[in-house]
Amino acid sequence: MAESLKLAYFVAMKEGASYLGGLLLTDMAGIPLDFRYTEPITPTRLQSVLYGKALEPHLKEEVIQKTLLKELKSSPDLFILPPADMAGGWNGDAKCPVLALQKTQEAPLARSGESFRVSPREVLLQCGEAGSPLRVIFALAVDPAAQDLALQKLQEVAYHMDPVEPLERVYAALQTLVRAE
Amino acid sequence: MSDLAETIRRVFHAPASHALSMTLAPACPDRVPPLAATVLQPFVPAATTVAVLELGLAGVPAAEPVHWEARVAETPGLAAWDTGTKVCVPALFQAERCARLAVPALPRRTAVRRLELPLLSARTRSGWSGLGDAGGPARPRVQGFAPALARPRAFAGLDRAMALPVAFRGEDLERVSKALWMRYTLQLVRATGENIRNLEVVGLYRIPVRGTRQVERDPVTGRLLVVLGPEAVAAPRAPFMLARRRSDGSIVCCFVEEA
Repeated sequence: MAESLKLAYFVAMKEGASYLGGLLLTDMAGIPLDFRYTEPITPTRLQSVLYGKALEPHLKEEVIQKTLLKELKSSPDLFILPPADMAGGWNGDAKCPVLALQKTQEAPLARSGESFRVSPREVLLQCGEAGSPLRVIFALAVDPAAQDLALQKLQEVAYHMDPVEPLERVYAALQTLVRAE
Repeated sequence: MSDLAETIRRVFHAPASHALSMTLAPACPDRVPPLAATVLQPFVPAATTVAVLELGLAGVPAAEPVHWEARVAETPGLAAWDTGTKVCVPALFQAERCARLAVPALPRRTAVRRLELPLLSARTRSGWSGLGDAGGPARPRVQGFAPALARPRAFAGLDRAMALPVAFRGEDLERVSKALWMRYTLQLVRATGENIRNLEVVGLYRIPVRGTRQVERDPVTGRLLVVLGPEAVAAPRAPFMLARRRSDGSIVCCFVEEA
């Protein structure tokens, strides 16, 4: 089971007036299995006016995310986002639990694997013996049972790798793409 | 009006009178001469009639009672004066002609008339046809705009992702069992040829046994940044030990276990 875990890290970013996104699929050690990225999308001025504040969420959730998920060869076990994207509420249609990971400065929990539920959607998870726990924020669509299952997977992944680190790689990869173009 | 005043003055003015001599004529022995009366013109002549009495008396006549009867003989002057004149009767004093003047009541409120202001309207020029009419300017075209954002193309970029170093977190050395630790350090000494006393173990990482292109340790986080090749995908992982030579501070490393 451990070898079959796949994590999808999704990042959509705005560079100038364009939006682009990347989706990195890794194994539970963080080694890339697949990486897909979109070409930059530049909304017209009229589209920006018509969409208003809904433009960015729509682009990220409906346009970029769906396009990248379609391109993936295998479905992930966890769909991980940057915390900023989860803060606005995520309405994407990923078939796996969608969550955001954030490093904290909280005091370590008693032992590795222990979790503390802060709110119905937010859990502190101690991933190692030392260090601060991770803040796990689940999407609205993830029910408590699915949350518990996702926490178990996350705990297993955290034994082998830093579960937050691949997000930095996706950011870096998208930055190199922007510079190249 | 002046005629009326003169008429009234004359009607009510005392008629002219003249004194008559009342002295008796000297008595005649046999008869008393009749009194002669003279009618004087013009206004109201009076005729006197004296009854003659045959007294048959002798002696001195005494005064006899005389009865005067006044009568209007004629009024030729008045008739003449009245000829052609008209009696002015002011209509104001005739009761039958008086009429009550009905004073109309004042209206309780004044009627307000609404004045409709003419609407402002653009004047059309002569010869200017309506929009869309023949000869006039054409109706504007309605252009449709679908605001949907087109789905972007997606590209595969595994090589780009593999070019980025993968961070591996080091294992907790204190939690490694003593037997395992001795086996690992022995393997490190064999691989590097160094004396164990000259080596200081920096970290123990589980990295892929194939496809490792570049290794760098982040001293801040203690993570091992490994640049992997495509062959690293699905490659088994093995413990990788990193140590520093105490003599010169250089780094040595090796896999301490077969995958």
